[in-house]
Amino acid sequence: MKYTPNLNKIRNAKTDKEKNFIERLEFIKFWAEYIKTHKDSDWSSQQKALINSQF
Amino acid sequence: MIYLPDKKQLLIDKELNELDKFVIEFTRLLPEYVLVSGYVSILTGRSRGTEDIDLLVPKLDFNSFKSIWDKIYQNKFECINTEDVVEAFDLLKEHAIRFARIGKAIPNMEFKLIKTKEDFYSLSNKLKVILKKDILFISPLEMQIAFKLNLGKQGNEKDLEDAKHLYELFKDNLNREELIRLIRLFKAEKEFDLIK
Repeated sequence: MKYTPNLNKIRNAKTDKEKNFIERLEFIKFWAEYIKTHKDSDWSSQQKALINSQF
Repeated sequence: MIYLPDKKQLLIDKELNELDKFVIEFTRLLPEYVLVSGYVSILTGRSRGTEDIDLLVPKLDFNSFKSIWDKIYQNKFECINTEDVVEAFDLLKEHAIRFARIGKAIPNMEFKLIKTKEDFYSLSNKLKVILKKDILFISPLEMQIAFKLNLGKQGNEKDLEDAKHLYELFKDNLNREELIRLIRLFKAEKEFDLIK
């Protein structure tokens, strides 16, 4: 599964802060799609590594 | 992950992370509660952590609170605001108190009483999340999206991102009419346009 953000949306943003925000929203859309199309064990093991590293 | 809106159930066969385990161990001690805000997004896969989890409980008299307090302490959690149950009860009436595992500060549970109409809505319409061996209760998804959009009005991008996560994940199964009603209630139409 490839991450292909909508570059036009990002380019249209006025400031770098806004560009970052729009890009993150694009990633969230991709990640939600990843969750929907993969087994729970797949995405949750990745989430577990991220969250457990914080504690 | 399977969402069954008619049954108000969400089935997640996930590998539990430390945050999930903390929430499960703590909520087991409570007779009634609903989890709200950021943890709802995290439970459903959002790729971020948090230091605190927001939890609402119905109004309690002192004796009921004391009984929960004792159970919490017996299970190796402690209040990080105060060790005095009377003081904790007073604090809770005003705002919130936080519980963590003994000797730790994070993660912690922000424990609040139900006060607003939106809080009541979350409890009355709560969603049952069925994990491998455990059960959690979370605020309904439509309310969570609208609530997070409302918080996002103050410029907090994290809240808009949480709303986006829930919206993208469940958009085909949401009660659209109810979602729009709640978004209008919070006057968060502009924020919704940003994330949809």
